[in-house]
Amino acid sequence: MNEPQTLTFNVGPHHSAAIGPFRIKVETDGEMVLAGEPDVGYLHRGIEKVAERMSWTGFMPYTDRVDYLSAIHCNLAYALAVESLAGIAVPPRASCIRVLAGELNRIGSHLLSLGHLAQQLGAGTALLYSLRDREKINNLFEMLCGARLTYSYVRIGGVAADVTEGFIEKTYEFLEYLLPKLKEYHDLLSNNRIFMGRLANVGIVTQAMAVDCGLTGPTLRAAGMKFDVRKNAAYCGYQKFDFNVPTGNGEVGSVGDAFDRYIVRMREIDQAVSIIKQALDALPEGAFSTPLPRLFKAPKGEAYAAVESPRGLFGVYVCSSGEKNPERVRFRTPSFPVLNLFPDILKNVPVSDVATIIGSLDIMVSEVDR
Amino acid sequence: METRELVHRIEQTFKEGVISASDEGLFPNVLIQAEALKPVISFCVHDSLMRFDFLECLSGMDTGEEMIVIYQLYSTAFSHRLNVKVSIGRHSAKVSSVTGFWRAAAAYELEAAEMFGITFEGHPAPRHLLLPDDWQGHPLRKDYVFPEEYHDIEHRRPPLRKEHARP
Amino acid sequence: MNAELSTISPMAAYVGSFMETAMPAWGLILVATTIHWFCLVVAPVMLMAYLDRKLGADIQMRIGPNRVSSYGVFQSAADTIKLFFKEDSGPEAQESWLFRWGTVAAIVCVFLALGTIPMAEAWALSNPDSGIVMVLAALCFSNLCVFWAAYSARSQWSVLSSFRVLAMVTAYVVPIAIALVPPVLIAGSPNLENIVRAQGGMPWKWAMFHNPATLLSWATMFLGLQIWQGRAPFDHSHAPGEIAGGYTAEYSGLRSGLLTFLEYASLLLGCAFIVTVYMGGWQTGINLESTGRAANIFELIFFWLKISGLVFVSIWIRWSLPGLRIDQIVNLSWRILVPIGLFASAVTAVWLVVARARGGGDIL
Repeated sequence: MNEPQTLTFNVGPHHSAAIGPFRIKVETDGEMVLAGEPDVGYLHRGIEKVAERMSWTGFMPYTDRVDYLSAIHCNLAYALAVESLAGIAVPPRASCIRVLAGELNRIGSHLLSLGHLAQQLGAGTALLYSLRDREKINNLFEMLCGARLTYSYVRIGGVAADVTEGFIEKTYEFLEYLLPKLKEYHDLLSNNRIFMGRLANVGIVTQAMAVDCGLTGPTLRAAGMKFDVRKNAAYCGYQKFDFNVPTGNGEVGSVGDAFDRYIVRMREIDQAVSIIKQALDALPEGAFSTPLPRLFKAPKGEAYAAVESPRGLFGVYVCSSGEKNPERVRFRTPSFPVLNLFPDILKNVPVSDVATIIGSLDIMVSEVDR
Repeated sequence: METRELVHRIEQTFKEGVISASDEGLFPNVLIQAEALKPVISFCVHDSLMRFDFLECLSGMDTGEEMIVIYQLYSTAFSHRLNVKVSIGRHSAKVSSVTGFWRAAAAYELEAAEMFGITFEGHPAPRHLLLPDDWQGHPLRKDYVFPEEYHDIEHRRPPLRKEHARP
Repeated sequence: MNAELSTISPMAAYVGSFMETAMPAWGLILVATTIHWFCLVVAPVMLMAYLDRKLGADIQMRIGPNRVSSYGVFQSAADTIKLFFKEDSGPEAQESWLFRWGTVAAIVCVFLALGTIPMAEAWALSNPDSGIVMVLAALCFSNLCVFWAAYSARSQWSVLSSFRVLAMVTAYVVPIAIALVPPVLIAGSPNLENIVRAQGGMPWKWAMFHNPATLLSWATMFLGLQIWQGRAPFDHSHAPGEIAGGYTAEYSGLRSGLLTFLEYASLLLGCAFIVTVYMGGWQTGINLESTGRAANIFELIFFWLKISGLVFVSIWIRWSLPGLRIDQIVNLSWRILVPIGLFASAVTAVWLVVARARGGGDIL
């Protein structure tokens, strides 16, 4: 008798499963995956090292590149950390605009994620539908700050510019436009038997696994834990907004499966729409930024700030030695701990589900590698 | 528990292991000795009043004089957080691995190991994570010299011209 | 001579009936074959490729091809010309003749099957006594050729997709074979021409609506053929999202164009086959005796209209549904389609026995 042989595949680095170059060495026996080992670093740019050579304010555009799908949250986490270190008070209008921009960005990121997941399952049409709606968000951002992807809109002390004329009306219009489209997604995907069948009981991440591996965001919430930085450690005045934290409850399969992660994201879009409405209704008057000195130097010390990015807890640790450039900037990104999950989650799953699992975990490679 | 109480509780339990503790400020933390790391972490995880079941972040840091590893702990049960710092020497930077307490530590430790040259003793699968397997040096160290050549790819930085330098 | 020829190749006999001077039989067959392949297979296939892109673009809110001629009608022709001049690069496995000729062999299978399908009265390249078996064999064999090609590419993804192609054969062939029983029972013959003749032009005279159970077996066959065509949602053998295109990734230039051609030729064969056995084939339901030989043209138009409807539905399904996982497809075929097909066959048999005992039962 011959020894049973296994076949080793490379899923990636150029595979559509993850957004960005991401390689998984997969060992298979026929259709079954026995083990999967991630290999990352294809997008490593050494942003943390770059920070040591940049000025405090000049580093802001680099934070966009940490997670270019939710650049506002990366800007925001860095700005919050530096502000708390330097003791800068942010005007209420700036905080409200930050919430507004952050939630818009969250919708955009979740839309892309859902389209991407659908594309993994062969429903490329849903991707184009979601890109159509994300395009509107990009237009809004272009109106707000001139950039469509890497915004650098949130600055230390506030935001780069006040909301432009007509932005508020356009945003209301967009929300009116989006609500029927969300129903369209539910008709096309959420209530689709094939879609449910492909996602149910696939890639189950239990609460214990998620906490052990350090996962946050929709993955942790889909596992049933109501953990959201916006509620647990509110920043930017999130405590003033009325919103729910949706959690997964295993509607079509078990708690914490791929469908739960998908549906939690869909429901977060609903919540984000409600937050944006509240922010638009109650946008305070006043300054949009606190002016900084020409040569800004953060005082000696260290600080940490965390925000809830679309993928989870996004934290920035800054350490200053009182110089004009940071001593150390550390990004705690929500996609990075997903690497810890791989030995378990890709064990005894069909090859077809590898892409589904990675897509549903919403791994952003630029944020894993930094 | 309040951060203050947490810090005091550790200070009282591990008198010798604690180098310094700050219970207020922007980044309240306990700085401990490398030998005391495992007992302290074990206490943080298993103590019924602490129950830190979530490792939010593990980062390395090079201050120029010493290496520091920062453990940011969070408890999902009590929603309190604590920062533990370990000070280790720069030359033979060694610290025990905490992968036994949280699996989250595995990837963070790999990253810190290759970026700072810290050896995490007892890590189940040490390897290069973000950098190529044959990369020389540890980029985030303060004394890191940028390579000018890698596999026949030349990379030289143009000297910083005076008019572009910041004041 | 014509009578003899019409048993070998009805279409050649038809072509011969236009000739003033007698032409040798092989010449007639050659002319008929050329007309058949180019006008009734290659041209429609290219048109379908265009339609698929255009309708798909419409479903996805894109514009689709719009550069070559108005609305990009000649896009497929332009693509074909381009592919002829593209470099034929590929993996080392190109040395293997199985890799090089596997897809060609698959296309040949599909062409052979299409040759037996009567597109108008007495309009088939050949009319074997058991045409149904011939088509069924061609369906399986074309996938076997794809399996050879995929397996010989020697890349991991290709090998995996070749296994999936084989798994697919078990998934579609049994449901299709079972779903072919009712029309054969109704017509009393496995000959495609006879099956069409046993039906009428109006929908209520199609085998599909012979009794309630045949509607079920029609659906079984339609799904089975969808699985065979390997288009989304049953595209697991080369799903781009899962296995990165599988074997299709190894081909370039004209060979990759052949794969596309195979895809649409399969779509055409699937739709033509089901129209022939279940949906009245070339029957028009209109008395065309007065039109003489031009009657065939009307029949051809009716046949193609029915095919177009099915092609449209296939394209619609392909662009709007997510793909099924391979185990879901195998489950679908063995646990749902096969029992339904068996049930429908049994019901049709009983129905026919009872109806014939009472002096009816035949459609016409």
